[in-house]
Amino acid sequence: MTLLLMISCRKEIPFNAEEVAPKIVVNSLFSTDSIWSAHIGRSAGILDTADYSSIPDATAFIYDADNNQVAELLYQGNGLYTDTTSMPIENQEYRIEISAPGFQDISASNAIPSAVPIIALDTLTATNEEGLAILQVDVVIDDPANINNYYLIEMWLSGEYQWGGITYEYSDRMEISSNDPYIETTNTFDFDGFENAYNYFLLSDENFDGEDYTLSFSVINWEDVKKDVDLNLFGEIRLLNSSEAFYNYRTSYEVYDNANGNPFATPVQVYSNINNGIGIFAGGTLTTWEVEF
Amino acid sequence: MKRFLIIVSLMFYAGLLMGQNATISGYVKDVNTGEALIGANIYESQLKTGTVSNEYGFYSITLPMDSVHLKATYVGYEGMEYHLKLEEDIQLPIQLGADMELGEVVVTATKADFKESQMSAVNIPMQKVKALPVLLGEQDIIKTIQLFPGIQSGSEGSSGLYVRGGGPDQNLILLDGVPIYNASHLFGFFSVFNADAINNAKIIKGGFPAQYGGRLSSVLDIRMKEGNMKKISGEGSIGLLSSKLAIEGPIIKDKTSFIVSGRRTYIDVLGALFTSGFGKDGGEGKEEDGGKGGGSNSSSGGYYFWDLNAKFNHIFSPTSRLYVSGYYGKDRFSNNTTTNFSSEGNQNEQSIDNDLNWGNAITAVRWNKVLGPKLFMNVTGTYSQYQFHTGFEQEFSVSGADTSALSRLTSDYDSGIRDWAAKADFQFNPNPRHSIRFGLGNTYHTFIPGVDQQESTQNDSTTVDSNYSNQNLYSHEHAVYFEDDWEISERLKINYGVHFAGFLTGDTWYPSIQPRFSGRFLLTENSSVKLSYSRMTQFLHLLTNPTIGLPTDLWVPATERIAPEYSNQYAIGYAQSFKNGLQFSIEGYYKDMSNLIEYREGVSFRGTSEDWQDLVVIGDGESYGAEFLIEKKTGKTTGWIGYTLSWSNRTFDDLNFGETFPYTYDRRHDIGLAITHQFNDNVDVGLVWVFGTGYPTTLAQQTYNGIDGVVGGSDPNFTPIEYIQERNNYRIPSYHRLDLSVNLHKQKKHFERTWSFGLYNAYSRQNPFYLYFDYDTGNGKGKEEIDEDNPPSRALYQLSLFPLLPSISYSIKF
Repeated sequence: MTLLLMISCRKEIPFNAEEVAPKIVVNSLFSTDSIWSAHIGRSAGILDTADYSSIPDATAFIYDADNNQVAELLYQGNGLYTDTTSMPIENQEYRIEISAPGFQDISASNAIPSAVPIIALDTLTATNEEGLAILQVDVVIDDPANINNYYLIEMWLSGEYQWGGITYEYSDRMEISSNDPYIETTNTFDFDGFENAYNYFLLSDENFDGEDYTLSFSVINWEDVKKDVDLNLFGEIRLLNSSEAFYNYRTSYEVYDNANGNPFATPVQVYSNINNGIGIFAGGTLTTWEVEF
Repeated sequence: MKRFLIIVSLMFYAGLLMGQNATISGYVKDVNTGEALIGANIYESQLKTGTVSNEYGFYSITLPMDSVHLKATYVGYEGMEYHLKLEEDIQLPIQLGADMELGEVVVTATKADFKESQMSAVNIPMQKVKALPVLLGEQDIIKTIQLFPGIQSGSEGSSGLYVRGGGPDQNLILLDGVPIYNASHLFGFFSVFNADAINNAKIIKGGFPAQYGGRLSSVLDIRMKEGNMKKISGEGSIGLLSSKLAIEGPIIKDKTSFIVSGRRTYIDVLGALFTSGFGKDGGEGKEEDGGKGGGSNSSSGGYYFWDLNAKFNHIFSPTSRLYVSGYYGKDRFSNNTTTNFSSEGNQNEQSIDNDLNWGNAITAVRWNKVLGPKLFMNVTGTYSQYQFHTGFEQEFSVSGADTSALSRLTSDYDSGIRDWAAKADFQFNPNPRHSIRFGLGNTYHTFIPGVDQQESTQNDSTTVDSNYSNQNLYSHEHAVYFEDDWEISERLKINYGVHFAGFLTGDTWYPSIQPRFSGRFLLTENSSVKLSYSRMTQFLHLLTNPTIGLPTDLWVPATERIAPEYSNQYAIGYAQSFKNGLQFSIEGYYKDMSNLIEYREGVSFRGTSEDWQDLVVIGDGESYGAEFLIEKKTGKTTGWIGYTLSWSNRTFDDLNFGETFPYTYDRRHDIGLAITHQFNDNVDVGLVWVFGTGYPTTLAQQTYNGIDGVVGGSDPNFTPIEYIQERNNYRIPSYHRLDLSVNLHKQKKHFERTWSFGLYNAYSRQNPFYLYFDYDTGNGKGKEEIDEDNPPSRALYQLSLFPLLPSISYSIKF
């Protein structure tokens, strides 16, 4: 092969896709506890080395299922558009329409699924095979029946602490590990002997629709966390019940991120639900449960 | 089904009851070597009926007891006529001699393809394999096959086969009836088949006879030579890449013969000579960085492949014959580096060994028995194995006055497949209108889908010993078949049959009934229309990297989770033979395929310990197209030109968001031209020209800022994402190439020698092998470090492998 590479040669060739027109890119993840917002920018040709530029002169409107305008997003700078006059509500189908000079109009539709309650949580401190302390957590989710649900679950360490007479805000996502068979493995990584480590879990209710589902996991870096607990920090389970669009985007993005830069990996397409454009317009509902240590 | 059996029974008894008939049977052989002539025509000129010798040279024809005018013909041989009074069953050995004046061969000596019920099949002319120009002068039957319509090579220089939109795993490659699982040497650039050892080859792309099964897209049936029964003979050659030698001859004249053929490359030897001046570094003893000095290093290794074909056969009687044949071949890449240096008064040595090897080993034992003038039996037992191994060993030792330590780290990966098989095949010719084949067999597969072993040793004490493996998988594949080649009338001939197969894997059994049909209708004395239908089942899958064929490609069985692959293929064609020796054919086909597997998105070909079943997705495929072929088989100028217009698509729920996309080897236009011309007995020339529209590949066309945050997050992170709108969305540039060769023959006192000169890619076309984006730094080699504040412009680059490559080889034949 070395010989082949020695005799091989490289040359620049015309890229016939250069005439592909840039598209409007929109990123808008909305929930019931936040105002309407969207980041609006443009795509760049693959050979373009300039920064991705935002679009400051776009018009963006949100409509409900009855085609009533519920929000007009106004430019706030750095590509961010917001509307402070209304907030999304659950189970309402919304459509975003964006137009900008020089670009094809784009649109996308999505809704916020209902909140899914955490009905029980149990923690247990244990020691793993290497003698390190771990925190075992059992979370019970009341999964609604006959609805496709898509979950993203994280555990955070949050709170305030004093240092040198100054109060600091603290928030850090913890590494967690689980062998639950229904968790998507696209974003798993090895961490200090834990083969199934995650920053967050992605799972659908395809295999436990309508049941009280117990998800068991361990907090990997508990040994380090314990020191912070003395600072009166607390844990927080965050359960996001997301739309299918967000779940598809999130899982495909994880696959993309893992494969990025590997020339032997098969190509990955990141999910987009924007008609005539690129990006994601998706809703979700967050449920939190505080964990006392 | 019941009605079908009644019809078959009636035909059988009708044949038996046709009174006043007798059967002529025997073997057709080369008069000079005793080699079986496969596919020779035996034709009764008064009744205008005939038969064809089978893969062992056996023929059987039943005729009315009367005067018989029998004519035997075979391409490149002088025909023989027999006039006899047929009064009882007789054995008639037919021996044909090579035609010394090929240019004068009459047209009737060619095999008239348009008369066969079989369609979508190509008999590979072995003499052309040796006469046509090839890469680095290595004669390669697969490269010749790739020149016919409907068959593509894949990437530049590859010996892969992509037939009618099928994948590289969908070809049943048989060497003397034994499956070869990896038919490639040198990472796919050469096939494992040594042309000196091959007697006959045939590829079938559709209209599969019922005797074949187990793959969706093609059958490549290669038969090795049997060995000269008359005298010791041989041939050998020395080329740029390899040398080879074949010896054959009688052990007992006209009773027992052998052939042994071997080949080995010497890239490693030449490489060692080339690097001998650079591979060793005397290592001036400089004390650097903590007192390190007095160093030396050396390296060795290289790449080579070898293969060995051997066959032995013995004639017990005119009706009983035994064959034992084998193929053994291996590719090996190895590299060893040793570094010695002194540090703080201690002597240190570090050695690193890398080893990569793979190869096939097959053995077959066959027994031919003529059970009666009309009934021929072949019983076969076979063993086939493909193994892949890669290993790494690192050793570090320290020795000094006060200390001594040794550490060793080893890592090995093994995979492969192993088959034991037995089968019995029968051919029954009840009368000239029927040629019936039936048989049964079973194959016991052992799949080794990847075993990883790591071991770490400190001072002879093992500290880490780990083994990660997928479990070996065991399965049985069995088949029963029946087919009848039936000449219903002078105009209408059909081949119908059924292949019933089953696959037992774990606790799951997959049965499969596969009907087969092909037929031809003579429009005129020289033209016919043909049509065919085949249902095929494939119980094995190949996990293969989509970009390049590597020996790491892994054969795995259908399992409870991953079902077998199925296909249905329909074809219609027209064939015509012209009086000047030209043959023309056009065929259209449609093929649907289901349960195909592909790696899921983002999976790399190695580096994962996951169960292979979790790495794949399942989908369907379809392909359709038209093929045109004009062939000239006789005269001083021979050759063919083929053109294919085709489409091949795939649809997977989990790829391309469920939308249909072009197959990786979808090629709209494909042209293959191959011509040889014999000026006289001493000089012949060859020309090959190929053209193909570019294959599709997946290239991002745009980038954008994607969100890397959670729902409701007020300040999300953004990350650049390459936007791929569709899989295989971009066509790489077209491929075309011209190859030329000249062969100079001279008869010496004891042997015939040939000088062969070749030019591969004569006009040095830079054909695409790989496309990638890179920064344009002006030096043509990309840039290691990019100034992010002021990045250079980017461009699309193409890597081409083979520019104009001359070749020369010297061969002898005695």
